Amino acid sequence: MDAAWMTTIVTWLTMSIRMSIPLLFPSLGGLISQKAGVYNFGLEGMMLCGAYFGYYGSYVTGNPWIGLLLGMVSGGLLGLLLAFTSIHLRVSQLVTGLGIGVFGLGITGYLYRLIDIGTATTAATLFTNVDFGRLRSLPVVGEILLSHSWMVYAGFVLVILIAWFFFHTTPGLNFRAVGENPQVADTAGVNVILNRYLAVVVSGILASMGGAFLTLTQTAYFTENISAGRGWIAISAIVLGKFNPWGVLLACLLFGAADAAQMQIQVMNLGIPYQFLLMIPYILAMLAMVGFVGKVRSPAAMGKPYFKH
Amino acid sequence: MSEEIYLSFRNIRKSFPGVIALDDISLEIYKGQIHALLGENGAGKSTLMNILYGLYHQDSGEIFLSGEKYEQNTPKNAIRHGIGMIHQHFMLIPNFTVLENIILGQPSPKPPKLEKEYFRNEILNVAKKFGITVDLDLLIEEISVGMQQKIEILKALYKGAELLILDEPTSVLTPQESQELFKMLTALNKKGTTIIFISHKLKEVMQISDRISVLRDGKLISTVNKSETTPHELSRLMVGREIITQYSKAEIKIGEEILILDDITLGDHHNQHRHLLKNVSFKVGQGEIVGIAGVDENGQKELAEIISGLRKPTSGKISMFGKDVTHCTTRQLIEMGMSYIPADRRNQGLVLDFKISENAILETHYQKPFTRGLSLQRKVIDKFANELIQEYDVRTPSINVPVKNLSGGNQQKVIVGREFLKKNHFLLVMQPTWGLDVGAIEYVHKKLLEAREKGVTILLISTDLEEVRKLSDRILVIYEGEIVGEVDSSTDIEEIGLLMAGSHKH
Repeated sequence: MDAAWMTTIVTWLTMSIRMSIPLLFPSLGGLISQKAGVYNFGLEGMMLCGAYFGYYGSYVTGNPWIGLLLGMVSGGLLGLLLAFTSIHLRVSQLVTGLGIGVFGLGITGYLYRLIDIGTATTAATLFTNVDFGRLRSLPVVGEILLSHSWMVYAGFVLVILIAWFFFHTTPGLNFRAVGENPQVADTAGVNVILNRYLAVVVSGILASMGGAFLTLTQTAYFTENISAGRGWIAISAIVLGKFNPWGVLLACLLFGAADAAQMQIQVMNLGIPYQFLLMIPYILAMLAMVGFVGKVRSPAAMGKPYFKH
Repeated sequence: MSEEIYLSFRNIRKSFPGVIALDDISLEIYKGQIHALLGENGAGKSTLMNILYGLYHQDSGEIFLSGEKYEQNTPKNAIRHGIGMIHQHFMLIPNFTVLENIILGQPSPKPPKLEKEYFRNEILNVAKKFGITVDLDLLIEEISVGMQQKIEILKALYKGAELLILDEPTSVLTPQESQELFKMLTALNKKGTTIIFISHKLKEVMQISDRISVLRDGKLISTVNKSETTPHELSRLMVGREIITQYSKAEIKIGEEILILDDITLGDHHNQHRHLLKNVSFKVGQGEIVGIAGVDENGQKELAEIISGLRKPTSGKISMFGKDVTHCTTRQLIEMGMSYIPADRRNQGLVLDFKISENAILETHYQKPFTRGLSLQRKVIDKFANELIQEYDVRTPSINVPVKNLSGGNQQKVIVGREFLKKNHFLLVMQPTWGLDVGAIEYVHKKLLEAREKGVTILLISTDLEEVRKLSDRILVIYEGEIVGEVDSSTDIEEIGLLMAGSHKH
């Protein structure tokens, strides 16, 4: 009994980390974009493109790195599209963002059907797990922390980098000012347009990495709507994380844990209809949005295009 | 006084859609002087300075700085050339600290690291040199408006400003804070800083400037030395005609009591032991103007909201036109003949994204003739709105402009026009002339007096003591949610001031 529970818990924690990563990338992407004052509602579409092109590149060349690169380019281009429409043309960020979200779903589903239906022969080459040598055999810790692909660790490193950028660098201060009050930033000589463009493009690249993580470390196959709404949940993870990279990491771990729990409970066959378990992450997301975390202060200029006279 | 030209504008022109904001302005600013730009709202003062600072660009004309042609006017370049601007709305981010706000956009000594300690020392040195005391670690939202303005000035000085532009700096300050600001400006000026001071207040312009340029409708009317002019002359130049400083009020017999407040109390739901309003009782008779004087935030807003039915009192009774209206809705009160001009025009007075014509009928849109059956009568509404902008001199290219594109003064005129053109028996007016220029203030005052002569009952709530004294038959003074005294308009201003400051308690 004890040993069995132990295994279950270790598996659950391992999976929690693994499931939080495809959420962490798009959440960090969305955070960067929102901190600069631009809503990115296209995260889901960017993620799907990352997943599809990541898969495609790796499947064709046999090299997951080329797949990842291709995926990142697709996300970056969608980011550029969102940036151009919302910053330059000042179209509603909500409308273009949602458009990109839906576009991603449609185009990847279509392209996938064009190449083939998922049989064993169309599997993409996966990234292998990082080899930690003898450390890997450490009890519990080895399994939970050291059994992942490099992208998991990259996700954590990104959190540190982004937190450092926001709060300990001059460009980071300027960047946040752009999202709080672009006019103030402009009068202080900060290039608002450039900062916002960079933010949205980087946001697209990060979201697509989240998608590529799914196809290049987990499934080896693309399936329609493989991201399963993670691009939308990411938006609530940002709120739940109170617009702070560390908070966002915690929120993603929480959602990841919920996701892993529902998978575990399904396996354990407790007689609960699995559809209920599938709802857990989404219910958590809704609770986050209705202010379950208390007062959240979003960047003051979020969603507002900047007009320069 | 040195007579070295520091800055000159030559033939500056700028137009916005539908308006010529600046019409061939040529102007010289001397080094080391305090130069005032005086004019009414929309005269072009701020536009000219925004061009210098690079927020706008002139359509034609040139700027010379220290004898050299100054091109590429961008904020960044302005800072590099020692030009600092303090905007009317502060360029500060509320949830950043003072330090973060000052170093925003500054290059780090060790890029990309944010060297807060390095900047802290630098800023404190500058502050010390100019005699400014600051706490750099407070958030902007934690400090007073007067302090925020000091931070703005310090920010400009830190960036090496030799020329400070202040856009209507006293409009957000209390009289004490204004005096403190003037002291600071004089001190800075003595240390060699040239100052351009934008204002529409004659008194303060006369108090601190060396030279004064008067602008009107985008044209430079005249530039004079302070020592060679009088407030009277300036006001004539500014308005283009003489302005009235005293009103003659018609003798009117005050009729029955229209508004009666009986023991109104409003608790503070954030703090049980505090009252926002306490035992407020007064009556206003027909044809009477009663003024409520007081320093801002002493319960005036709450009082107005209770009378207008937007808020319910914790206890007490209100009656209007002889009926108990304590539980009436705002629409019922409006239909009974109440008009309300709120102080917060952007949130309570207007729907900013709506057109002028739509805002003109906000309260009456469902009534005839604006609505027949279910459909709005576009033609009737447009005709009404056109009358409104004409009669109340709203400066706009058309009635189809969203009110958010109007200047504050013009927005106020839309509200005033709407409320005055409506059938009314009781006017609840709060800060009716806030942000208006001299001409418009006079116009609104005249309208209020006309309404009084027609027998309309008026409750005027204003923090502008001059305004209250000029218009009211009786003045009630409010302090910390209580009516602390009643005086008449001939009462000495000092005495009212003492009541406003709560001196009755001692």
